[in-house]
Amino acid sequence: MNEFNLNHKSIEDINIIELKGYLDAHTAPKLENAISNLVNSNQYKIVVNFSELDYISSAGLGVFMAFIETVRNNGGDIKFSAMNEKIYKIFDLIGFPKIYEFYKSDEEAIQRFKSSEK
Amino acid sequence: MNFQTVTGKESLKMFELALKLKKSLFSFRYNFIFLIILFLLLKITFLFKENFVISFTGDLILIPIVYSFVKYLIRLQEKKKFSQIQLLLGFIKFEIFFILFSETSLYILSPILKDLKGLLVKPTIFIGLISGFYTFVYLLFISIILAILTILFFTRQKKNIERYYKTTIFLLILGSLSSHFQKYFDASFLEYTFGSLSVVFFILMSYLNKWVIYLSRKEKIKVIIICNILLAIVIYSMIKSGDDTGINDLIPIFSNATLTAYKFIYAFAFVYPIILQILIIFQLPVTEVIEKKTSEVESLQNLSQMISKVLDIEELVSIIIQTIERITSSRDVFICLIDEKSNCKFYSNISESRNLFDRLSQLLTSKLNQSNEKILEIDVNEFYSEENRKIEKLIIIPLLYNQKLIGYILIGKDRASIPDEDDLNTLKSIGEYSAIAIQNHHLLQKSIEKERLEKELEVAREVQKKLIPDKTPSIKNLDIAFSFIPAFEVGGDYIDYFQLDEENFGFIVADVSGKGISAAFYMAEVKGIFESLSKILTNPKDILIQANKILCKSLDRKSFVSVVYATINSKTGEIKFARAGHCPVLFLRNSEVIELLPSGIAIGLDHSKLFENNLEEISLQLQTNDLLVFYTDGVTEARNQQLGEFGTERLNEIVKQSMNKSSQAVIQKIIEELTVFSKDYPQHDDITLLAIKYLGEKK
Repeated sequence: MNEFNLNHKSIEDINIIELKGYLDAHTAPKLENAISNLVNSNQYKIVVNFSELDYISSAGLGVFMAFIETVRNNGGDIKFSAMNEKIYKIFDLIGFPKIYEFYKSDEEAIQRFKSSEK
Repeated sequence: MNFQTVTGKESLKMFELALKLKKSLFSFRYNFIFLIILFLLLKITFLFKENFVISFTGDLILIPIVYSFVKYLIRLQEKKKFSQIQLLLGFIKFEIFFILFSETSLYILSPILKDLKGLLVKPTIFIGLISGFYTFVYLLFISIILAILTILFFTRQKKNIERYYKTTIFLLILGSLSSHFQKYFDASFLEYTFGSLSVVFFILMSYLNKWVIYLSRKEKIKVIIICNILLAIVIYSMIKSGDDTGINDLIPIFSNATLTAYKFIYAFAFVYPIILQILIIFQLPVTEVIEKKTSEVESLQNLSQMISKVLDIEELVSIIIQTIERITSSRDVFICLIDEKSNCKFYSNISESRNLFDRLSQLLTSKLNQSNEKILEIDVNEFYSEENRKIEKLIIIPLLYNQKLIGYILIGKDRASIPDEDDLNTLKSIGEYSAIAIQNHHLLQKSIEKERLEKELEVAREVQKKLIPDKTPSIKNLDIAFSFIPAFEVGGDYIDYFQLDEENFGFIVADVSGKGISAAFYMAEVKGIFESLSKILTNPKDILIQANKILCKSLDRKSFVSVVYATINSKTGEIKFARAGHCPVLFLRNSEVIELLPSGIAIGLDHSKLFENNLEEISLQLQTNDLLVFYTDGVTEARNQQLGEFGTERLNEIVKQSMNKSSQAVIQKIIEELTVFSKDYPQHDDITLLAIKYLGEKK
């Protein structure tokens, strides 16, 4: 019932992870694996697309916290994109916008990665 | 009277004694010794009397002696359990020993035996004694050989050969005894008739030997070699005894029948190895097939036994691979298990590079799209070769459990050992066994995991229950109510209050991220930190800043805590609070609800000044009947069957309608609405509510 799926694609050196469904304590390990695989292969530029995510629990939020330090220390970032209002509210309540960057679309996030390189 | 009882007792004693005597008389050892003594007495008393009755009786006595000794030897075998090959070797040993013994005797006795013919006509006591000694040696030899043959005949015997056996022995005895009639007529024809009949029955019996069938190919070859040695010895010994002078001639002085019986036994010893060889040679071609089948059955049996014993998947797979290697005699066996993400995980006992597994994986995906229920044979000529062995065919056996594909077994074969129909059937059943074994293992693992989780959750719930106050505080001027409904999987909600001084009270509503035991332990830590900080610091903002500093050190990177901490002066109605990433506080005044949402990020998100810089503290002067509602996201994120969420609007609306209600009534109303909303949908997170109503300073 509470399905969760993720899809990974890359544009140049930027990795886009698209989330779909319910991200909770039971499905968070899937996302954790995906990001961990990227980090292990030295891929630190990550955009997470939330457009099809219906729900996120504290365990889901924790996944991003687990990697952000390593990613930033290696000159990368985890940027969020295309989040609907409901999900954004959860992020906002907890204070994520103070620490993470949110964008309306993947393109904006990618643009941001590219412009910061220059 | 008195006298009678005594005799009664005595007669009873006598009777018992008699019984004992009878028992011991009939017991083997006494019988044996008794018979020998009887025989010797008979011989000594009527020494050398050429009397038919006497010598015949003497030989008759010998029959039970031999019988009981053979019986004793068979009983000995039951204890020692010599193998058939050991018995045959024993046969050889006794034979050699006997030949050596005869040769030595012959050498020692040669001076006496020079004039044997004369001696035989008129034997001396000395010769009589020697003859007696050798008679017993011969009898011993006869008994041993007879015992060995009897044991071999009855080993693994399925048919009832008792009748053959008894007839053989009966004919043997008849033949032996018939030598006594030599004096009256030419009895040799009787001897030969009975003797050859006995041998015929012996041959029949030998053909029914079953134990040879069960021998392995190696053992059978061993038996053939032993048989030939035995045959050579027997022939040698027969030629030897054909010479004129020999110990043999001494025997009839003492016992006529012993020598005849000895000759028959030699005939048996000659026939038996020949028949044994014939049997083996006829069976040899099928031996391999039988052996293979037997080993297959054994391997499968082992496998099914291991299924329930092995808990480690690697070990289980390794056992399956070993079993397959044994059955198929292939050294290239791989097992691929498909996991939930439909990835293939390969196992193999050969050391190999990842590269091979990748190629196998590609092969599987490319070849196995059509049907995955049948055993497939794929030519892999150039695909794979290892050192000096070439793999030309790959047999792929799907592992199916309830029609669900859970993996494959792959077996590499060279051209010479390509499986036939029969092998494929075996492989199929191996596949079935293995699938059951692996699936059982998965299920077992799952149930163990489930049990472990349940135990863990029980502990977590227990911890959580102890951390949360069991009763509502009653504070002057304040109407306070709270409700805490834990989810099955401990959600990490935490609610508490602290009395700071006579008028001031601290309240905390928090939510630790994650679930279960880890959430419960963080809760315990949060409680400790706030309890002690509330005693030192008065400002909610300062307390949260300190709490963040402390908790950042101990929380793991994935975890955070959202907190609302408030202090209330019950006398003045002044309230101060700060929020660290938590849900807003609802403030009801004059039927208007306001979401109080001072900025602040959750504890554990940031170690630096960011937390401090973003933290805002709100101060409010409460008026009479003002209501504050604190809650956790378990309230607003409660779901129903349609997977809709309860949401903030519903909650705010209920609070808005609660102007004249007590705190308890407000909370009750919210919970009622929540229950109606969720209906049968399970609660997935803890639900925590705290309502504080200011009743105003009473004078």
